[in-house]
Amino acid sequence: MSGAVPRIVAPERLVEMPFGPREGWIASRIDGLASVDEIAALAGVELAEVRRVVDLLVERGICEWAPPTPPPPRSSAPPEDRASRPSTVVPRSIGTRPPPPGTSRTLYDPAELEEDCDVEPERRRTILDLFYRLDELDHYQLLGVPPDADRGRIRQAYFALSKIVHPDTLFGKRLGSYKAKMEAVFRRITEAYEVLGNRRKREEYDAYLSARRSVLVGGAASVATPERTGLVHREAHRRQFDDTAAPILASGGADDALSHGGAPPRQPAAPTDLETPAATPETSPSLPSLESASPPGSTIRSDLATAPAGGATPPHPDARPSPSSTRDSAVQTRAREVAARRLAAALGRPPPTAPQPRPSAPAATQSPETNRRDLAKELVSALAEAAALTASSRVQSQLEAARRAEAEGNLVAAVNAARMAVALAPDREEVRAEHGRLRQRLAEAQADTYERMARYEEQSRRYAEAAVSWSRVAEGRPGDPMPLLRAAECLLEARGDLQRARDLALQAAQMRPDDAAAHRTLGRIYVAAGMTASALRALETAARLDPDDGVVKTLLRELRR
Amino acid sequence: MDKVIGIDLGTFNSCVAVMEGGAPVVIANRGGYKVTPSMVAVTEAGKRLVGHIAKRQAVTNAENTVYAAKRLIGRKFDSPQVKNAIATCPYRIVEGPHGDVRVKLRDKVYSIPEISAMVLQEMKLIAEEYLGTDVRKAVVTVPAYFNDGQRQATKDAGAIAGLDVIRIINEPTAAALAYGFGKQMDRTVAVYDLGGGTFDISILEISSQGVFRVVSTAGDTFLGGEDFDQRIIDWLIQGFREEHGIDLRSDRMALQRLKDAAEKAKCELSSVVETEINLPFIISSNRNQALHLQRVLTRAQLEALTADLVDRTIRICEITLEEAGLDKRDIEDVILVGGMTRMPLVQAAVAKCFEREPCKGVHPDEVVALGAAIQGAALVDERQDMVLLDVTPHTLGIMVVGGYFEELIPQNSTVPTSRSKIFTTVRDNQTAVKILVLQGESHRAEENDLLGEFVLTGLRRAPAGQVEIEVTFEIDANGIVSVHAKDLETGKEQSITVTATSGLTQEEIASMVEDARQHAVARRADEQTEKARQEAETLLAQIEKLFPDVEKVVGASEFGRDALDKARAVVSRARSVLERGDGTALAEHVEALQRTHRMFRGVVGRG
Repeated sequence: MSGAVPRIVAPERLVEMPFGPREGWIASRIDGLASVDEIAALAGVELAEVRRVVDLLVERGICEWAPPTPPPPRSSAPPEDRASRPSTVVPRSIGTRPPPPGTSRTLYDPAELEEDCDVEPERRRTILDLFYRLDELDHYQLLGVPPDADRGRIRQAYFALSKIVHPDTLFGKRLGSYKAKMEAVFRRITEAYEVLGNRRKREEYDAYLSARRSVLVGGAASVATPERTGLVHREAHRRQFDDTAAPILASGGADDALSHGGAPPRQPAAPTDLETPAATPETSPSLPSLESASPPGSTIRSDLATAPAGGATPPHPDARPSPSSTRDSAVQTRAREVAARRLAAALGRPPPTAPQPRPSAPAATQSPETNRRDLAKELVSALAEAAALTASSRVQSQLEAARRAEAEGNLVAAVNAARMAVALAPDREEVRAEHGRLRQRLAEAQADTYERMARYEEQSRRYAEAAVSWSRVAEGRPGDPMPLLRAAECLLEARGDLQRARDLALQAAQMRPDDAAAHRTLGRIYVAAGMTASALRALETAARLDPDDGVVKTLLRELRR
Repeated sequence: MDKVIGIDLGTFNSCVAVMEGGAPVVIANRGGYKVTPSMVAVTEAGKRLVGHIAKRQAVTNAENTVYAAKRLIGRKFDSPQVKNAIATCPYRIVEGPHGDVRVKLRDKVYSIPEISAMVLQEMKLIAEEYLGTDVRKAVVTVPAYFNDGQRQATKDAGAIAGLDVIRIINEPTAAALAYGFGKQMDRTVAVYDLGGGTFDISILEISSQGVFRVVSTAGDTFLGGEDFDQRIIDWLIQGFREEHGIDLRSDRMALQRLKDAAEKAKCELSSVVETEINLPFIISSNRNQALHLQRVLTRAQLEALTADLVDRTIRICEITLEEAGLDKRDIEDVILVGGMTRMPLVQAAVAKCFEREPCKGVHPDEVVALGAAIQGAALVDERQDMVLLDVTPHTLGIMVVGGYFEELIPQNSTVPTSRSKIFTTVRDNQTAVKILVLQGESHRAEENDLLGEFVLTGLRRAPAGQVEIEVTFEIDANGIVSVHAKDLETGKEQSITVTATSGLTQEEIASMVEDARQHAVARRADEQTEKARQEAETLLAQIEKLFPDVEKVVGASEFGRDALDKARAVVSRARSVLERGDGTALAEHVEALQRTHRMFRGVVGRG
């Protein structure tokens, strides 16, 4: 089974999308060659998220499904077998086409569709689809309307959804667990409608969204440049050959502009499960059904983990890598495979024939051994060419692109270009410094925008998002403890990552050692984390600085007991 | 599928409607009237009278005739509205065992839901007679300002009447449903409802998709037709004082006459431009001389007297629009509901405010019941592809330190909805918090209605402000409020489903239901007796009429004479039973009479 690959057909329209940086990052990985799960691997994000982005793009006609470029051959031998049995070529399909929008996207347990109640199957799917994505959709996405939709269209969309999720439409029926889900979805669509249906509130919300998007527009523009199909494109692939690029891939883009998004990755990297039999190449045709039974993240990870090194690359020095390094090396391996294919395509060569033994295909007449040798040769030469392309001049051109972008005022593009340069020459101090300088400039330029976002998010009681926005403000305003403290307090409010909250509050406290508020916040965080000794220290400092603070006093009294 | 009837349980009149063949129709009562007075009386013989029959005897039996029970339903005995009613109503209002309101008719004390139940039962009977089947479910309307207690009391009244009230909806909402039903249109409309005692303005969105969304509801619970009457009364009193130096306020009887006359004049001035108020012998002067009140009131004068009241309603409309984020131009139609909207000044002011002529296509007396019937069908009939997105009528919250009211769910929130807020303890080592669930718009807790309370115990001993308690309010589509309180640290949770009290306990309601059911059975038996009696009388008359002819034909033969004797016996027995009024026995005699009648007709026919 060979799935289609997404291909951007209208790059100039990418900016229309209501995307955050994270989606922009994913969109920038679509090149008409990689399948969705390859994109997921390359971008270091979850498969489900890639699918969502691709689906959205396809829905808007910006992207379409193209027939896949057959993957290069590679060994299927599990690592332990490699020593005894030199790699054999086994056909394997990667890239399963995501289901069309509207159908189950493995967001929920299929058992939920089977619940014994009176909700019609069609309605169940709609409800579950919305219910499990409530946190990630903005108001427009939730109602399924374009950002420029007029009031009538928004009303129509809200009413149409109401007729599906309002409990009165199933009055007197057994709703089971769907009652609460319908109510939750109804509350959210009502909130969305109340904001978008009210002129003033919609203006505020649009300002917030555009602030969020302003980070992306630059990035999307860089995606849309004609350059993209040329050098930059290949540079990106070159980067993936470089082992030092792996951390960037694994962390999903280390750049500021890209790491902040509407939906920060909630799931920590799934543990690698080498023993997952489901992910072995032999059983891969059954992948789609497995995916629906397990979280998408873990599927892709285990899939990667067992994907052996490509036949064209030199054998990995470690025959049995430790589990932690396995994933990295697997990601790299996959990256290499995809890059080889992209290179072949970019260099205008016919893609290597799929080695799948097919009676009618010419490849079938060759012995698998010859076939493999030829392909390997081809890839080696492609790699050599690619290596030649990556001279230091490429670094220079990236830096120049960065400067140009900076001069044009497109700081996002500048940072992106500089980041590329860093990826190409990670050891060059001056390149890193330039990247750092641009990052700082971008952060400063965006601080006000982030502050507006943060305040809106606080006002809408979305403290987790507000915490992220405040920490961006802090980066843009070094030396100002206020955003750091607000970020810490928002994290406390959201009951989020207390360690991060502590780090932020500590920074603030170090910046202004005489600020009682910083120590008080720090103390509250320690109290929340149950770290009594540290809490006492922080609060005592706060009490020394401001002996009249009632909150500190009561907290101290409590702690000393 | 059970038919659901829609009942507009009004202060003065009630109306019932049902969906038939996809359209709502108002059902006329036996007298052919589409509205039935919301009046209940108990006669000297202890007989219950409801509707027109109660109204007809009201003058002669004022003490035992209850009207406008709606003003009392769900209220506390010590509330100002009840105090006011005690002062003005001829029937006796007494305090119930739970601080609720009861009325005493003859020797029996009735709760207000019981009185309303009698009206609802009457409406149910009217519908059952029309439909020819039992009716068990109903949607009942209430004014938008009704709080949970009043809504619950209305539901209880339904239960006592043997009706499952599947939903309570607001009157203006019902009016909008009736207005928009079946019309393929997308509109934002305003319902301007100026009734006898209150003013409501509701804004709704109507869509051709079959969705009705209440955007907001606001109003003034102390602004209505009565205030207009009062202006006329004050004007009359002032004029009389200037003329005769006597204050008519001191005389209750005169005051009542002024009230009636003012209301009548007000109504008349809606169609004519001038009316005469003529109250002879209104009071005696100091010299024991009878004085008369005679004045001419013009429409212009009335408008001058009441312009500020109309302005008040317009201001409320403007504020409501603004709060809803809407412009006057966004309102595409205005529906007028309530008797006061017949006043030309009101119509003109509304037209000026919304910059459009109000819609005249709805019948103000029937529109609410029609809307209730529509909502009933929307809920239970799958063929009715429509849904009403309603809002909470009042703000819900809890009491916080200092006796303040902390809002959780604001007024006009679309239901179902839920909100959470985190609260902290106020005293050191406080191990329990009492959550008082309140409803109302005042920031002082005591001025709002208490819906329920519960205690969350087992809190960690800690200084004030240290223990965090998350309070969540939830309102489902049925308007049922549940409240959860959770200690965020221990995860300890307490929750209640708020059941507003109507002033009646479950046991009381159960016994009232039983009482009403027995009453319904007795009444039905009564009807059967009545039917048998009428039939017997008809048959007897016809038999008597046929007697001479039959005698002529068969009187010659012994067999014939024998038959005639038997017939005479049947008739005389039937007569005596009829005089005794024995219903059960009468049924048997009707059969005998029918046989005799058939035989007589046969004989005469052959001859």
